[in-house]
Amino acid sequence: MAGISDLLTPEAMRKLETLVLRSRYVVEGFRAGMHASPLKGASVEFADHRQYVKGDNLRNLDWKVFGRTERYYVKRFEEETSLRTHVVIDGSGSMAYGSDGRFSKYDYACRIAAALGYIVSRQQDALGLTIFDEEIRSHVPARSGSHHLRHFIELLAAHRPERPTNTGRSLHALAEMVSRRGLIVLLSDLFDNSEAVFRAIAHFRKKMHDVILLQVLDPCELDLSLDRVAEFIDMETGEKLEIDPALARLSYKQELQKAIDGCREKCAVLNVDYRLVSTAESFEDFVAQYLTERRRMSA
Amino acid sequence: MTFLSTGMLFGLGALFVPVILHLWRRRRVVQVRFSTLRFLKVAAARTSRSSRIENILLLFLRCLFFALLVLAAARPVLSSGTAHLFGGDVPRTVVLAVDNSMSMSCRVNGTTRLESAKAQALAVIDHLKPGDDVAVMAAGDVPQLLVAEPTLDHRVARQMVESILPGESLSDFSAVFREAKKIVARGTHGLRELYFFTDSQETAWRFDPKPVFDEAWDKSGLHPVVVRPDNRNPPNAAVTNVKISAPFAAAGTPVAGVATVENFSERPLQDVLEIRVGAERVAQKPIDLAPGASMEVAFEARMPQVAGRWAEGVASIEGDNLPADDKFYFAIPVFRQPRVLVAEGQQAGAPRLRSGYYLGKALAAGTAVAPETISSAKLDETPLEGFSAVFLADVANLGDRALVRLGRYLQSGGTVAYFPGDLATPAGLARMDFLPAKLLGVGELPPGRLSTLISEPGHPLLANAWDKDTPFPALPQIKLGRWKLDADARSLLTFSNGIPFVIFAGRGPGRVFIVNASADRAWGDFPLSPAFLPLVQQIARFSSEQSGADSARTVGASLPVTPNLPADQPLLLKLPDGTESTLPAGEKPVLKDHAENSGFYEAGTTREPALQVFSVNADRRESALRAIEPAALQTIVPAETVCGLDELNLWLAKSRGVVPLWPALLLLALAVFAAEACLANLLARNRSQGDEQHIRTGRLNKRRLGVSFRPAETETGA
Repeated sequence: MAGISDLLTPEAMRKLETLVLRSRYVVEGFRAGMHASPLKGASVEFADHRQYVKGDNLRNLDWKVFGRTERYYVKRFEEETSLRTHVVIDGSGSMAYGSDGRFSKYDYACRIAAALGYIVSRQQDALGLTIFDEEIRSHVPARSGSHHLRHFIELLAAHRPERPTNTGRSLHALAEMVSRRGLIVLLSDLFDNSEAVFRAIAHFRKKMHDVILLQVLDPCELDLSLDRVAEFIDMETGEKLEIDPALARLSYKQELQKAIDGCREKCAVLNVDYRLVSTAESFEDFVAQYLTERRRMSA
Repeated sequence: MTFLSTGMLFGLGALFVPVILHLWRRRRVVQVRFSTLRFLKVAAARTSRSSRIENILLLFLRCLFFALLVLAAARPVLSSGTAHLFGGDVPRTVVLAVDNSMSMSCRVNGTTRLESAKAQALAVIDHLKPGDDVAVMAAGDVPQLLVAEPTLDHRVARQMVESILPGESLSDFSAVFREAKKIVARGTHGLRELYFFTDSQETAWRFDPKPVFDEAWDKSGLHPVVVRPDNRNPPNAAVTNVKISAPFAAAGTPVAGVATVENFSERPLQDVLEIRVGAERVAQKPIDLAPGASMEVAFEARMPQVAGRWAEGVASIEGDNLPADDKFYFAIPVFRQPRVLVAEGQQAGAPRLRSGYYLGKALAAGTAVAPETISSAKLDETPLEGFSAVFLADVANLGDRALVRLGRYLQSGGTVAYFPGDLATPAGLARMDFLPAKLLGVGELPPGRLSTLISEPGHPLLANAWDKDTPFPALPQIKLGRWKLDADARSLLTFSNGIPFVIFAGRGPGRVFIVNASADRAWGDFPLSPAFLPLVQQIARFSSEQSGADSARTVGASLPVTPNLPADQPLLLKLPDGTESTLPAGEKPVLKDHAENSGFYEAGTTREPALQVFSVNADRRESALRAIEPAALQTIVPAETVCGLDELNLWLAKSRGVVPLWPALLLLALAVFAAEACLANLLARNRSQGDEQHIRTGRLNKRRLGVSFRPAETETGA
């Protein structure tokens, strides 16, 4: 993986051109944009009334209310601002797994991140990146511009997923670093302490961030499609375990399903947009389908 | 439990197949780098133990299946203790063969092996059930069927076993198996067992097994059990041969010989070889033999005075575990004056003119016994058996009775020497069909001496008398007969003109000489020449020397009627144990078919009881006591080997009243196969269960969780 052309082909870009990534919540941008802001300002979108105080612009005085009630009220309007999107990628050793010549999960996550970054850049929104394993390895604050997108992609390509993971600690640290409300897109296999991970996600939510959680898994991880008895070696810890996959498949799937269901439930409670994605799918199709669906459901 | 086809148990090696496959499968484990073992560990904890147990169970069932098949093929039978649980006993036909060859006389711990073998045979009879048949045979060189038809009367079998006596014959194991095969082929029923009580000498198993263990053997279903009295290898040495250099001996003359002693054991042997002739010890030599070695001990002794025609000698060493082969018997014919009958054709006139005159003088020279001279006409009524040679001097023709007499005489090993003369005519001689040549005519020779050539220098008649350095002298002949030789006739001496001088041919055991010169002076001065007397005496001596032939025999061989024995008189045969039997007069092929014991067998008439002495010795192949190795025995016949009475009793206790188990084992194998199939199927189902469940990816099903996708109002506020 070297540059933008490796992660985003022109064909993929063409597919992504029409897509829009919006936050479901209000965000605190640094300039005017297309996203809802918690601030009231100049726009055509009426928000509410408040009593006139000295110094208010008389242009905003609602004369119709004054005519009916003989009280001074000024009209307030919704302010629209730019979106700060933070792509957070799990760069731990387990993300390096890829079966049957497919992309590794990290590569796949990078491609999704690049696609989202491309969409965000096209919206003139700010894009930030954080790569972590047991701690934050790379962090780029949210900025906009095509140069920044290139830097974003170079950082993705430069990272080697090989260390153990500590998602909870890394996300907590990140939550402290990102102060303004924005959109957090977390790409991880979530093979970590589930409680710690979701406490960290709750931390984001508490800070009013819109969080998208994309759990990236390899097809072989989903169905344990190995035929022969094998000695499995943990890619992060080096631990070994000999097992007959055919015999263990059912239990494995049950356990994994349980873990996925647990994620879903917790995401639902925290109002986090959760998706499970297999690296067998085409990433641009997934992004397109996901954003379309997200837009439809937000409508 | 015992197995009737133990060879099939080698198939148990097939048990390695599932084990090797199992281990091989385990060795084929590949290493896979995987993202996390978190879920695998939980799955492994649930499945590993049960999987391991199931795999071990599967392996066990597969091994058990193979084992049951192999065991069933080995035809196991159940011992009596539990036989009733499985439907009772199977009747048996048991053939007991007790080896009573010489080697079974070997003493081990104070008991002969034959006695031990008989005790073992009786133990087998004791273990028989009332419905079991039993046959008994004594197995020497010729199996002796004591109970030929399998009988239910075990008492008779016991008596027959007890009656088996030690023999000195050679073992013939192939004959034992052949006889056993014949016995069970007579429609016996149930299990068929051959108990062969033998020391199982390695030498006795050296026979071609193919004709013995043939298709008929396989069909017989005989299960052989070789029962050895012990598993010892006792030391044994034997005198295996004695060779006397001279064909006969005379009292006071030196006798040289060589005795061969062989050490068959694995220990060195120091002993003393003693040679006795008659009652007198004539030589004694120390011997020192390495294990397995043999040595020839030369000895020379002066012949003691012995009565009779034969000197009986024994070469012996000190006794060991097998005394039967420590002595070697030999008989030396004692030289006796040849008894010659001269039948002359011309008896009229002065004595010098009689055709046998010079023969009588020449034969009487230097001997105590003068030849008897008769007219040829008296040959009709004169018994010839007492004479070692009959000289016919110018006999023109013979009567029918004389011809028959001479024919029989020749057939009993006698010697006839014919000297022609003026009376001899081709027609007259043509009737004498025992002569080896036909007279064609008589020719005159010019005066002078005619030299002779020795045609067969090695012939016993000439060997010690004339040779290259001492040529046969020239003869002053004036007449010579022209002869046409029969196909079997040979010219021993030939005149320089090519006409044969001494013609010889064998007539059965007898011998006939034609001397082509007259015994009187009618054809020349041959009777006066220096060659006449030695030639005549050589013929007479040669006729008496033959008596030593055929006197050395081995146990089991027949004793022939030798020329030393008269055919027209009753004969007495004295055996080594002193018993005597009388054989009627007349033609008989043999004196005894089968010499059973070693020692001296004396045959003769009431007047002279030892005309012929046979020295009979046991075959020394019996002296090698080393038993065949069980593995080597298996290559000949798949037989079970049991050693000693205790082991036999144990074996009998196990095998007695057996129940065939192989049908049950086959059923069990079938059940195990079914169980294995079910378990394997169950495992396959378990393995495929996980394939049916799929984890859904993609769209999040939030509605099902009851959580609105829309953001809460509280979050929109600043």
